Amino acid sequence: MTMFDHSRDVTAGSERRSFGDIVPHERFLSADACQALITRALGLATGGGSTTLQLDSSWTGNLRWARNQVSTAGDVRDNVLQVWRNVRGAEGQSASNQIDDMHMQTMLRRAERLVQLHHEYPESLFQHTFIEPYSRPAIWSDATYNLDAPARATGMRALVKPAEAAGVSSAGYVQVSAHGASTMDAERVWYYPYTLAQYSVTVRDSDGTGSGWAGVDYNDWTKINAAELSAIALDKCQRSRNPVAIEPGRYTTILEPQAVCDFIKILFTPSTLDREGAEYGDPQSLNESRYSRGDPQSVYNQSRGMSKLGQRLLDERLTVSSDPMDPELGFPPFLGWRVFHPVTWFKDGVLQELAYSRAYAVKKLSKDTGGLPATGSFRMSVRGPMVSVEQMIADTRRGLLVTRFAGISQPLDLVSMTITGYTRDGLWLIENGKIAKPVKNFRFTDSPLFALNNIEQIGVPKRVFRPDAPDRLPDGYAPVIVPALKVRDFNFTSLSDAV
Amino acid sequence: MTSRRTFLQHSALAVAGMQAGLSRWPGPWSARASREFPWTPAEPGTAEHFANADLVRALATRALDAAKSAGATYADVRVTRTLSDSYANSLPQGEWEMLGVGVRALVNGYWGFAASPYWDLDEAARLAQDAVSQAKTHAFGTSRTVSWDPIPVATGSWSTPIKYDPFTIPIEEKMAFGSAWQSLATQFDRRVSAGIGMTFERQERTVATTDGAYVSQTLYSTGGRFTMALRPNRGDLSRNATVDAHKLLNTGAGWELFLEANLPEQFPAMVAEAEERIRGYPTKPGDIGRYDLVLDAGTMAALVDTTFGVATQLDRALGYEANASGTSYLGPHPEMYLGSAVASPVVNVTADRSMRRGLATVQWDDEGVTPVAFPLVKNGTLVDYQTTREQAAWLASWYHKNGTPVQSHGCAGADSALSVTMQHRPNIVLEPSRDTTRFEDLVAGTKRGLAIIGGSVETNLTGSEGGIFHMRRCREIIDGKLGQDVSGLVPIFNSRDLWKHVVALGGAASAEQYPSSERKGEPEQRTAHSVRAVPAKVTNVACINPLRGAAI
Repeated sequence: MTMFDHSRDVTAGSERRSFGDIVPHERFLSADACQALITRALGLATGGGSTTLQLDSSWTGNLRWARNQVSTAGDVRDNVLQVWRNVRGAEGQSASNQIDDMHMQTMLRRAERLVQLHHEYPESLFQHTFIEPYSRPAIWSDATYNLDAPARATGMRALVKPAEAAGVSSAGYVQVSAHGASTMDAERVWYYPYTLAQYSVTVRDSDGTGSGWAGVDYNDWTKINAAELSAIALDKCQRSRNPVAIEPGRYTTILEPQAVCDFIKILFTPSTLDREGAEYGDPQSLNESRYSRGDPQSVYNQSRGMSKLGQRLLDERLTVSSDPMDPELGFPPFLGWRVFHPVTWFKDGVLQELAYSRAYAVKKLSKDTGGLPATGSFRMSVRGPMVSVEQMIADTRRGLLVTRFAGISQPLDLVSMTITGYTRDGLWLIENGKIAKPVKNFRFTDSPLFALNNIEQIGVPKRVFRPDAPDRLPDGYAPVIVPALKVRDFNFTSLSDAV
Repeated sequence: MTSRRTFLQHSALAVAGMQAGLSRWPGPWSARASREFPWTPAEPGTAEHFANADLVRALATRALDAAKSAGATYADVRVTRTLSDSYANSLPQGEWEMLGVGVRALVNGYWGFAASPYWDLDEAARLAQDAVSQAKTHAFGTSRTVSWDPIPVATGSWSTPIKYDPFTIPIEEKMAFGSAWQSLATQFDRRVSAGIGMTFERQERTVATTDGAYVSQTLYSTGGRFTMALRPNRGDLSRNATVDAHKLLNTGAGWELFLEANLPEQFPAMVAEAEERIRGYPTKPGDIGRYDLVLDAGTMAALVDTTFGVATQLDRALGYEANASGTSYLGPHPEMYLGSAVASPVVNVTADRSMRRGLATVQWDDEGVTPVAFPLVKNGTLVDYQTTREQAAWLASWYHKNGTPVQSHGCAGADSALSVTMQHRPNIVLEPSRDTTRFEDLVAGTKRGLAIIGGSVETNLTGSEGGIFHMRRCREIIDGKLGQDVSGLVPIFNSRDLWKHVVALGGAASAEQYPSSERKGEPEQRTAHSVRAVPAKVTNVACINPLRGAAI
C-alpha cells in the first residue's frame, strides 16, 4: 500500500541517526516505527499491568507572506507521544515528544509513579477500552505530501502578482502537513496516516479601508483552487473600500458558507453535543452557572435528567451529520481507542443523537458499545431547493451580505447559546436585488439556534476554512461543510469600526 | 512504595501542620517530606542528565556552522526543553516534557525556518541546511532587505528569580498541600466544598546567533485556582455560589506562589462573598445612555492589554498579521500616529520585560537583545511600537527625528524552539498616577455613573478599534456612593475615543498584576505575558442593551 510507504524524504537525503531501531529520517513516523515503539515500551515497562501509547507524529511545511512579499517559510516536525500505565485499574500517564529509549524509560517511570498514587479498581468495569474496527477513509494525498518548498514557491509567485498590479497588499498563508496518528498496546497497533492542506489570503488596500478574504482547507491540495480564492479576495477588497456606516438593527442577512460555519459551529462541538452534559450538567464542575438555577445550562437540555432528543430544534430542511468516510469531509477514524462512526446528529431539523462515552453507554443505555464520540466536524445537508448566493441577493429587497465572522465569544447565555462577535473582510448592503454599497462592520449578538429557525433561503453546501478548532480532535482538525443561508432578523447590535 | 495508610497519616499531619502555623512553611515541611515520603528522583534524573549544557552548546554550534556554510548571512538557533505539569483536585495529571531545536536563517533579506524535536547533531545540521534552503527558495515577490544595527553581543545565563523549583518539590508534597487546603475549607465551614488546580511550567531556553550571542535562560510559570463552592442546604441544588481565591493567578514564580497565597486567611472573606452571591444583589434594569465609568484594576488591565497591547505591535500595524490575528487601529501608517495624542494626558503605558514575576520577563529576548522598559504612550502621546531587531529599522526616521537610537525593544520570541521567532507582546503596564488615589476615591469623586467590577474586554480583534465590556458586577454610582447592581447594560467603546476620556487613574498602591496570553502567527503560537494596571475613571461611555438591539 503506497500510502504507508514514507521512506522517501523529499526535503533532504536520509541520514543515519543514533536512535536505535527507530530512525526518524522520514518526515513523520511510519506504522513500522510505531510497532517498534510499542515493542520497546512494553519491554521497558515495570510493575505489570498494561501499557498504552498514543502518538501523533507530524510534518508541517508552510509559506507565509504579507505586503506582497514572503515573510517566513518553514518546515517543522513534531511528535506528541502520550504514555499510560494501568495496573489493576490504577492509572498514570506522562507525555513527551521524544521517541528514543531513554526518554521512553523516563515517561514510563513518571507514569508508574502516578500509578502508585492511585486507587486500584480490580472490577472489570474499569476496563474502559472497547475495541471495534475502524473505517478507512481516503484522507491521504500524495499531492499534499509532495508540496515541498519549491512547489509552494512556484505556486505562490503567481498569486501575489495580481494584488501587486492592482496596488493593494496581499497577506496569505499556505500550510501542508502529514500526520501519522497511532494508538498502541500489547495486543494491537492502530495507525492512520493523513494529510491536511490549507490556503487563506487577505487582501487589503493601502489605506486600510477595504479588506477581502477567502480560504479553504482540504486533505488534498489539488482540491484547493488558490488562484480562484486569491481573485475572490482581491475582488472583495476592491468592492469593500470606503464603507459607509448604517444603523445597527435586525436585518435580513445572507451569510456566506464561511460565515455560517463561524456562527453555528458552537452548536456542534464535542462539549455542546455531550449527552451527559445536556441531561445533567457536569457533576464534577464547580462552574456556578451550571448549578445556580438548578437546571443544567445546556442548549440541548429540556429539564434535569432529560435532553431535547427527539425534538425539532432546527429548520426542517436541515440535516447535520458526520462520517469519517465522507469523501468530501473525511477525518481520521479514531482517537485513542475511540472509533468514530457515521452519525446523524439532526435529521430534518430533529435532534437524533447526542455524543456519549462508553461508560455512559454501559450505565445509562445498557449497551455494550464504545460510545458515540463527536469530533466537532459536521456536514449540513439540505432537503429542498438550493439557490446560489447570487440568486439570494436578487431575491432580497433590503439586507446584508456577510463574508465571515470573527471574535466569536464564549456563550453569553448557555441555554439559548447566544453569542457575540463581529463581521470581517466584507459586508455589503443589498437593496432591491443588487449590492448597493459596502458598509462598516457590525458587532452581532444572536443565537445560532434562533437563526437556524429563521431561514428564508438555503444554498449549496460547500467546504469552508476550519483548519484548527478548539474543543476538537484530533490535533485541531474538524472539517465542516455548510451551505450559505439567508436568515431573517439577524441581530446586529452595534457598529464595529473595524475593517 | 508508600502505603496508603502512611500517606493518610501524613495528610492528617499536613492538616495539623497547617493549622499549627503557616509561618513554619515551607522549610520544615520540605525537610520532613524528604524523610517521610521517600521520593526517588527516578528516571527524570536521566532525562535531566541528557539535557545538559554541553549537548546544547554542541547542537547550537553545529547548527550555526551548517547555516553559515550553506550561505546564510545571519542565523540563530534556539534549543528548548519545556517541562509542564498540572494537578486537578490534588491529583497529578501527568508530566509533559517537550524538547526542540529550531533554526532561523536569513539569506538576502528572506527568512527560512526549520525545527524538529530531536536533540541530535546531524539533525541540527539538517535543520540549518533546510532553513537556508527555505529562505533561498522563497525569495520572490517585491525584494526585501533586512538592515539592522549591530547590538552588544550577549552571553551568559539567567533564571526567573524563584524560591522553589516546582519540579523539585515531591509529588506527594504537592498532593498533600492541595488536599490539606480542601479539607481545611470544609472544616472551616461544613457547607463548603473546594476544588483546587495547579499548573507548573519550566522552560530551559538557549539562544545562539551568528553574531556570537549565546544566552541560556530558565523561565518559570506557576499558577492555580482554588474554588470554594458554598451550598447552604445540601439538598437544594439551586442555591449555591462559587468563589475563587486570590493570589493564585499565573505568574513568573515557583512553588512559593502557593505557600504565599495564605489561603486559610482568605476563607472568611470567600465564604462571606459566596453568601452574598446566594442572597443575590438587589438589581434593577439599566437605562441605556452615556455614563461615567469607574473601572477596577482588573478591567483596566484587560482594556490596556487588548487595545494598546495589541495595537502597538509594529508587525500588526504594518499588515504582517492581516491574514491571522488581525491589524491595528494605529496603522497601516505608523508615522501618522507617532507623536499624536492617542489617549488623555494622564495616560502612560509602558512595555516592561523586567516586571517582577512577569510572564514575559527575561534577561534577553530570542535575538540576544536585552529588553529595557520603554514607553509606548507618554502623557497620552504615542511614542513607540513593540519591535524586534528587523522591525526597529522600519521606524528609523521616527527615531532619528527624536534623537533616540534605532534599536530593537527586545520583543522577539516564540512559544518554543518549534515555532519561528516573531514579535510577541511584552509585559504591559498602565502606569499609576503620582498620588494615592484608590478605586473607592474614584467612586467618591463621581456624581452619576457606573462601577465596573471584574470586567473583561472583547475587542473587535481585527484592529482593536473598539469593543465591549463584560462585567461580573455593574453597580450604579450616585453622588459618590455605590448603589444597586444594574443589569442588562453593555458598555461599548471605540478605542481612540475611550482612552481620550480617561480622567483619573489610581495610585501605585492600587496597582494589580494579571496574566494574559496572546495568539498570533501562522502557524499559530501562544505566548504568555503579564499586565499591571490601576483602576480608572472614564467619562462619557455609551452603554447599550444588546438584547433590545438599541444603538446610540
